[in-house]
Amino acid sequence: MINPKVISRILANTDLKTKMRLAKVVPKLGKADEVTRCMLCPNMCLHVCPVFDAERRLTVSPSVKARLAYLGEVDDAIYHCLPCDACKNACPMDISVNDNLRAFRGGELALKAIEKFEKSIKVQTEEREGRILYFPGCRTFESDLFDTTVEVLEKLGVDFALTNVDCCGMPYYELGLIDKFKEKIAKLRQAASRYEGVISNCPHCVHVMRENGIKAAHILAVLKPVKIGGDVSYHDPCILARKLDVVKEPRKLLAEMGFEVHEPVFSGKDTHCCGYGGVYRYVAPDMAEKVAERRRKHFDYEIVTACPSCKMALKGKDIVELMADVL
Amino acid sequence: MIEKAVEEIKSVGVEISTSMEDRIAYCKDYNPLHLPKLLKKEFPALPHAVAFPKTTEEVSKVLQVANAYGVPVYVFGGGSGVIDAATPYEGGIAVSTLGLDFVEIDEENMLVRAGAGVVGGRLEKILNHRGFTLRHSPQSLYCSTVGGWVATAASGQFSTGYGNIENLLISLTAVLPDGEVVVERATPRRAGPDLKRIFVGSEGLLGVVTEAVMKIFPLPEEFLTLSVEYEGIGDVVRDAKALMQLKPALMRIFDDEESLRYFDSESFTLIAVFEGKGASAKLREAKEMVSGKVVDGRAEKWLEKRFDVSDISRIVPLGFIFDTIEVACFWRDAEKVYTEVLKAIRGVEGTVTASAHASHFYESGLCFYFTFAGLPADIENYYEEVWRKAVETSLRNGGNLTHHHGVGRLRKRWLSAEIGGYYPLLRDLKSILDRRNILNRGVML
Repeated sequence: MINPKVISRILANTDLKTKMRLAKVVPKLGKADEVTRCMLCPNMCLHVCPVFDAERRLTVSPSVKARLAYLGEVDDAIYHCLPCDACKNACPMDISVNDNLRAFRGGELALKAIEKFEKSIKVQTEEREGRILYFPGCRTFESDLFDTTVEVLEKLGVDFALTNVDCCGMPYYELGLIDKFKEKIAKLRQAASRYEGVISNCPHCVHVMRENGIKAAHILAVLKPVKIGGDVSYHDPCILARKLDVVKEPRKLLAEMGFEVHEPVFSGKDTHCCGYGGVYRYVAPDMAEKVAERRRKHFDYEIVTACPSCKMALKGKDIVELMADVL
Repeated sequence: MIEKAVEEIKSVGVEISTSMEDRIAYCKDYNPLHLPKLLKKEFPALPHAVAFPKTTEEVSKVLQVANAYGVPVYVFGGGSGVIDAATPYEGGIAVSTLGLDFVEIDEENMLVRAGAGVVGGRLEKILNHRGFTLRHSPQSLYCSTVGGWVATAASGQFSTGYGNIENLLISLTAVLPDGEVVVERATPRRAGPDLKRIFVGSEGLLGVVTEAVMKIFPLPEEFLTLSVEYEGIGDVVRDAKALMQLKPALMRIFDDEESLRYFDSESFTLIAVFEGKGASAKLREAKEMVSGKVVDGRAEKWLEKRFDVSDISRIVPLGFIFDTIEVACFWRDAEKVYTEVLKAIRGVEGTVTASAHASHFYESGLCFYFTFAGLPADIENYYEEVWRKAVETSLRNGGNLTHHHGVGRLRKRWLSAEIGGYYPLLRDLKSILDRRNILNRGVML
């Protein structure tokens, strides 16, 4: 909304021809699409972009990726992105570069990346009945967190079910393979409809479920403190902090467990992606590793987190594992 | 020739790319005239290749090869410069300094050694986490680099209290156009002429800055603000001069038009920040000294918005051109420079808004920062006319050519008027150091 006093000043100080041009364009003010607006920015989120930080090329910087998309150069760089929304968190226009680039993906690189993802997945499926559905997500298996979580949930007396659905569809979604994504999420939606709600270790899964009408919560919601104590650094998983708005809860839980929680540089909503988010690992594995390596250097104490991807990337411990040690 | 140079750079182990994506990424700096071109899907320029050295030695290898083949080289940091200095108009090789990205903090001596490619916002965040600050805070902090700051003689929002980049600099490492590396010992003060200064503001003309050692400061415990409103420019400038005795960390004057945009007030506004030990006493004294009316909250409002440049993205797609012109002047010329330059910009047909703030203050004077937006029939002619009239009016009324954005290609025609006898000296220096004229051709000279 433009201040009316500014408008009257403009009208008083502007020549007639310019006034006529203004009359034509003012109704279009603020209506340019996000890719265009992002492209015109000098890259004011460059300092927080983990992909740029690892790759050190302007080519994969947020506003240049928007430039490439705008120009139709969509072969490679637009896939070099994480769903961390560090850009959006820093952007006065609230623009998520990753959200905007998704529509330009779906090409050859997407197909290669999804093949790598599918080959890497080893999901252990088993079924049991309960009140709420525990949906581990593929990365919980990959990070060896599944058995531990089942054990912790049982010891905490959570009445949970397991079902034979393997994927929330996030990798397909991120790569712009939308039809396949819809198929995956529909299957999960149907399975989830039989329960009061769904819990998952994986912030990605929870976010995708919520965005698609499934009542889901991060596993932190059912955990209860057990006394342990010590010094730890907590890494905020980017999806958990920024998209699910879960920042205080893990800190409160860790404090109740007797831990002194030390903040790293980049924490809370200003956290830094671990590199294993989204599908960057299947697009540029060396660079994803580099993001992880750089993030690990931000910590002075044992890294604790609440996400299977972050646990793997940062070689840290999930809060569930801390509990399993003493339960 | 260029193909051979690229092959040779590859063969000495330096990463170099000829992919279209990388070339597009390095096709321009942030001069506003490039944006309408991009909207029309035109490239302002295109380098033939982009080199990504990771060390000073690799930068040296690139320059040795380019020099041997006489291939033009354009030096790129974050590409946030606005004076069309980095744009690779002759193709050649764009050299990205972003791979030089180490940060070493020396807490005992309050120094930081940083690679040229370190992005300012990240550096500041890392320093803050350890309880320090560089207090170099240009509006481009989040997208500009350490090397870019040095090359453009950058200045930040806290320059009034902490100095410009040249005042923060302890030592520099640079690579000359023929690949020779120049390093100096870091020391609080040095013997002989301070030759590293030739790289400060050199805009990549004389060498590639690869690392810098800079001063750092403890994060101040106290951070207090002052906001005052005035009827006109004369009173606010006089108060700003008086307040310099209290050494504010930050001070700004907003004219009536900018006050309206930031604070919904049609008065002139002065804001100041006092920080560190003694800040409360300074603030008390400042409130007693000023002749204007002390008001609440304006400093905080501006501090919250100080890195927001999103208006550019909103208005450029509509056909607007938007830019800023910053000039320095002595106190005695302040009112004249402010009034006459604004009048000159407003007099150009197509101008929609023109306003100014003063953003950097010295014992002897200040910097005025003019902002304009136009919706002309012909963007390039309009832009050229605004710049010509504004700069010539500044020079005629006691203002200078630039305070901190630099010269580039945009302002080079006026450089000799500003630096007089030093202009031929600069030209000689360029021809001695860069015999084949490979570095940033067409910039400044």
